[in-house]
Amino acid sequence: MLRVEGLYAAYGELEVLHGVSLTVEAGQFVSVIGPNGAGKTTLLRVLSGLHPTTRGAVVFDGEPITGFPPDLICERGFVHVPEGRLLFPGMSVREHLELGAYNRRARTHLREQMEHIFALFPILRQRHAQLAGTLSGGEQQMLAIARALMAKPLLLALDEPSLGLAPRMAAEIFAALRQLNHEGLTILLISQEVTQALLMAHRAYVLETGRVILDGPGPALLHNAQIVASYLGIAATS
Amino acid sequence: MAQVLQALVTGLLTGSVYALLGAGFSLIWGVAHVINIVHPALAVGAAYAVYLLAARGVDPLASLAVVVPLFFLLGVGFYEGVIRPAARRGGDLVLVSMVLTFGLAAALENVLAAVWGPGPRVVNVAYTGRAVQLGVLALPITHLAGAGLATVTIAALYLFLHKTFPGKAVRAVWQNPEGAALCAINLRQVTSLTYGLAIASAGVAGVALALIYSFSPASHLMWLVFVFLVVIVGGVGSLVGVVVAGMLVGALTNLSTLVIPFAWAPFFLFASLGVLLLLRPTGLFRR
Repeated sequence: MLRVEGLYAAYGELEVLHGVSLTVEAGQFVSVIGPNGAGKTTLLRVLSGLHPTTRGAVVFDGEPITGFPPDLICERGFVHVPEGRLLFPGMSVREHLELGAYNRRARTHLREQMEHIFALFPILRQRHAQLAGTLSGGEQQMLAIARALMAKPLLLALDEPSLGLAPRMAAEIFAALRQLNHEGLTILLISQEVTQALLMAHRAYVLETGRVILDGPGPALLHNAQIVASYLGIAATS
Repeated sequence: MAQVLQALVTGLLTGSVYALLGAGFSLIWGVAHVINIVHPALAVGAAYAVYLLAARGVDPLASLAVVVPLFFLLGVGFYEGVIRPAARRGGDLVLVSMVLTFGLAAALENVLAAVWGPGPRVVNVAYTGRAVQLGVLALPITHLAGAGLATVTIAALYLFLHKTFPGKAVRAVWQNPEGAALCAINLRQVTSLTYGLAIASAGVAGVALALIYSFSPASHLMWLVFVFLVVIVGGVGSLVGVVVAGMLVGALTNLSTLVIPFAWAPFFLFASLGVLLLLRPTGLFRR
């Protein structure tokens, strides 16, 4: 589904990705973990076309998309739920869902897709006329995911969807992701909730200072001594 | 009392033209982060087009059929040919565009002055000087036509922005360009469309102002001041705010002339603006 080969990216002179390679197979749940500043957010921004790449190739659904603008990448089915959600504060929940389905492929299925999303996140049906800026943090995150789902993604890429949420809300988001994956949606997740992210992942990559230093099946990485020492610390020893 | 009412109503009618000019200006400011100094100058250009056509017997309202499509294309061309190349060079677009559009406004003013001279012009039509009597109010037909034009155009803009897919895309880009790009919205297309609509609305405002006011090549400077005032009071990012602010500015200008000499009206307006900004630094309606 997605093949990333030797991807480089920089902010001005400062290179933050030094040849990242990873593969996501259709139907898989893939997690990328790593400390702050490892380049996780940059990686997703490069993949969805928000940030330019200096070198390397991205192949999605059998075709190269390297250097494509974000609107075309979204139209192809690589849909990004960004860090900070990037909602439209003065627009209603319903308007977000309509705009999510802006691309031609999705627009024809707008009604049924909206029903599907209201079934997944019932609270959004109640809030459908409310402005995004007035929603709670958890509701905003649901809306960001819902907006992305409206685009009929082949692959859903999420950047820290549980950041800043109450534990119960975070659990609800993760449960929704698991359900979507069971329904066949390919998922690429970036998360600092290492345990959750690894438990759910068919495959996981550990990113440090712009390089992949480790990869393997998620649950297996959970028992990797290096991971335990760097990320799980006390939680694993207790 | 009748005098106050008359001033208030005429003020609201002329205020609708301020509102229309402010709406297009704020659309470009919000979506494209460009302070389009040439905006009122283009409206004055449209007023001259109306003047030219009226001299050949074309009614100002009929001249819309030429002005609106012409100004739409002008807006798209202005973005694709001037603003976008400037933006691609990098640098601070707000600053670069301000200097660039100021230069264009000065150039346009001088072209108009070279062709028609610097003096004021008035468009004369069959109904100039006639008024509708409404109780104690006498409403000039030209004012009613100009205000009607502005009102219909603002309503159309509002419906476009809130009820259509492309209009919602414009608002999305306005509120969060990256979020919009991630919804498969083509930022260049939307920006181009925004310029087309905004400049077309400046054309309509020009037709309306040709109906109501006399104008000269340098008129755009005074209009620019009013537009800034309206957009600051209404808040960039709020069409409704801009409309209310336009009406408010129109009404206040007219009412103030009842008690102070006309030349002092701008002073009164800016004194009010100063007080407003001290009390509500983000404008009346900023979200």
